[in-house]
Amino acid sequence: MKKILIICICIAAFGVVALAAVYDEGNFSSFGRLFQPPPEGYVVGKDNAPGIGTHHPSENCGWCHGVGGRAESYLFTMAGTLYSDRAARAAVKGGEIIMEDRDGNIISMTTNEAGNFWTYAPVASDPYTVSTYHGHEPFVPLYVLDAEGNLVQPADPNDPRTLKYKTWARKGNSARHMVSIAGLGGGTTTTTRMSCNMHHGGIAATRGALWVGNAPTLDSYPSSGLSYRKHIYPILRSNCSPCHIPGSTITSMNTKTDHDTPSTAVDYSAGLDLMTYEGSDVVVPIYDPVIPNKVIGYKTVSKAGVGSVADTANPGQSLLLRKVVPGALHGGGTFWDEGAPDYMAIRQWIAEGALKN
Amino acid sequence: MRTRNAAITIAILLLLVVSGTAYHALATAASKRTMPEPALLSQEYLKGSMQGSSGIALDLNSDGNEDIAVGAPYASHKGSSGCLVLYFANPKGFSEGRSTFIKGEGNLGWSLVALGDMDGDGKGYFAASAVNGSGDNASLSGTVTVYKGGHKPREVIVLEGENALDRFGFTMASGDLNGDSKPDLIVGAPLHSPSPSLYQQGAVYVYFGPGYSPANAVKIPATPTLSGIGFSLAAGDINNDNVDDLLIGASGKVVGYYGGSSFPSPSPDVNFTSRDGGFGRSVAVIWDMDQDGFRDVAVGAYQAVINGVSDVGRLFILKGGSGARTVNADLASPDRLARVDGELNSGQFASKVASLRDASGNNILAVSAVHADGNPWLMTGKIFLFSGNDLTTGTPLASVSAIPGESKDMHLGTFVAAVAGKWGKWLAAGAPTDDTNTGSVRLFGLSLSGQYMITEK
Repeated sequence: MKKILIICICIAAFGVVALAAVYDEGNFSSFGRLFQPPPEGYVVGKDNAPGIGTHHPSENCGWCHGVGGRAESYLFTMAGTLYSDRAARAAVKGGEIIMEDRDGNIISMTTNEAGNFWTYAPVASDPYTVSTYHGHEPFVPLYVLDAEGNLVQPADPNDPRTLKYKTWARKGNSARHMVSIAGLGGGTTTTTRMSCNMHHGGIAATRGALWVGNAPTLDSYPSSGLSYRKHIYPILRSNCSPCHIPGSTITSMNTKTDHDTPSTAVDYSAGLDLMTYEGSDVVVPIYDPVIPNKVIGYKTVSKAGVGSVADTANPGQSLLLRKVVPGALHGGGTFWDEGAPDYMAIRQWIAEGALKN
Repeated sequence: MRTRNAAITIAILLLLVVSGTAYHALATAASKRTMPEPALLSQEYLKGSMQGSSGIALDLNSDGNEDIAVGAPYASHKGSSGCLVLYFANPKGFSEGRSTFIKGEGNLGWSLVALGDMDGDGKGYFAASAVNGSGDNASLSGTVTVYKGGHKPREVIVLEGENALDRFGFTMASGDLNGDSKPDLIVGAPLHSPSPSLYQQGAVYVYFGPGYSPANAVKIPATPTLSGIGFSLAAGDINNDNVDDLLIGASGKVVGYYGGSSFPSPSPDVNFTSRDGGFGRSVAVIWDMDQDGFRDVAVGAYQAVINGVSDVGRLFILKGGSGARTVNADLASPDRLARVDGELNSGQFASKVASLRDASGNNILAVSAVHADGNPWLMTGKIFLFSGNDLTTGTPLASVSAIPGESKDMHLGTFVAAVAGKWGKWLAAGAPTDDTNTGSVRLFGLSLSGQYMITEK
């Protein structure tokens, strides 16, 4: 009995420590915010705007409901469509999109039967980040405010002022962190958002479509004889492709006010390409730091592949699995617990030799 | 007495003149744009299914009337999504009830293409895609099923994409590319990755009829100079060698590969380019508009910005021809036969283009603007019907016959097809977001009367 009590206390203590390690309410850095669970204690859907809004699912709402759009008189500050998975096989009704600023203010929108959500709630700052997909480097020096209120550069990714909003898509117990979220007026004409695929699924990867879900990627998996192409790659492309893709995945991040320009580069793939088994070497352009879009040279971006994060001797200890279970530090969030079908399928495939079969 | 008779005569003449003028005015109005309530095909219980996302007309049951197959890619059933709704024609047309369902998974019905009567029994073949379907070798890669027509169409072969989420079957086309008189099936997979450096840049696959075996298929992958392919396709003979050619929409251009025994050539034979947004997302081989012996090409740029207004859209008519050709569609030249701008309402003019014939055999180019304003609502979608005479640069769209949508946000014109039967020839048009995304297909009579007169069928 005493042993059980000690074990329970240890487990509880471990849980508290683990939670403390991953949950930092005041941390709005690019790193820390990714591990924070969605907030609680507010009225879900409190910021839903009026209207029926079942039209144009998955399209870019800003076509019409943005500044200068045809429905400019119904100017959304945020809107989109939520799907059940990255393949966008079905729209999600009753899902929630959450935004939280660093002062704890929350915007909550829920989805209707078309999967659509929209709001007029003021978004204090356009929270876009700026993707540099395909390697728009080096970056234009960007700005943050120092203690005296002066503009300094570049922004520090660990500075809590660097990002203004934390964002999640939630349905039931499944919540997806979003690396960023774009206001309808956000972005620039020359850039796209960081890791758009993180939340922009949809058939044609249109901007308005997000995804959330905790259903297995495939309806079922065999207990043995797992195939990389048939069973494993679909899991990886559905879950990991928002970040772990070949080529340059270095991204600038937004600073704190509407008037600041983007700043600070991070590689959100962490040097890992999970769309290839062997890894990849991709030649990308180097851009002139002053003249926009002028290519001044090329470089090779090398990344490790799926095989590098599969440990056939200890399948459960494979980085491919350890990174996405509860309690792990993973920028893309938690995907499965250890009993989930996707987890079990990958584990079995690794145990069978992690073959490219 | 003479005075009285003269008065009566004058009165009769006046009456005739007045009535004649009124009749002429009514007739003129009717011939320009008569817009009655069209017939509607929809299964209302398929809420959210987006019927009309795709559609084709073909004779499925060899009764001499063309039937309609409609895609409903978000129809939900037992955890799966997608189905085909088949409407079989009768001698008078169509009844509202569907004739047959073909249920599927992976968003079956995302796209459809007719393949023709392959074996001469009058029952048309067709292909339907499930853009998130799973095949025997790759899950979630997208699948395309070839069916032989009949009251219950029979599966002939199932084709699949190479890798998960390639979106194999996003778009399809058919044409005889190898000159064996059998229609070939062309399938786009816009998110396929030919290599790490061409991640999600797309591929196009050609399956040769009548067998459509994957073993004999040809793959045209994206290359560093040909990226973003697989979103749009068309086939037709543009170099007048009696073999169809393949047109592929790519980033900022449309490329063409001439059909024949050496198809496909190592690099495109034809390049049509433009800086307009969305150039090439719709493409069709049309008739020989300038009568130079070569069929011409219609290309849409649905996101073209015109007069500072975004998503207005623009239509290009570009000359067909032979040999290696490069045409900059942005420049006025003999190779650009026409350029027509959409209405300044962000209607995404030329989001779809289709070459049709009316009941009299006259050529029509149907051009959809799926976000255009209708009557009385805004953003219903609209279909413009261009005759050869209309297709000139500077033609005001107001003078072109058009079918405006009549329901809010219905995306009228997502697909268009001409349907022929004992009743004559009708226009079928998809409206997948009609009635809260239940979707519908609208039928309009189609005949030539000075202008194309749209009448209730």
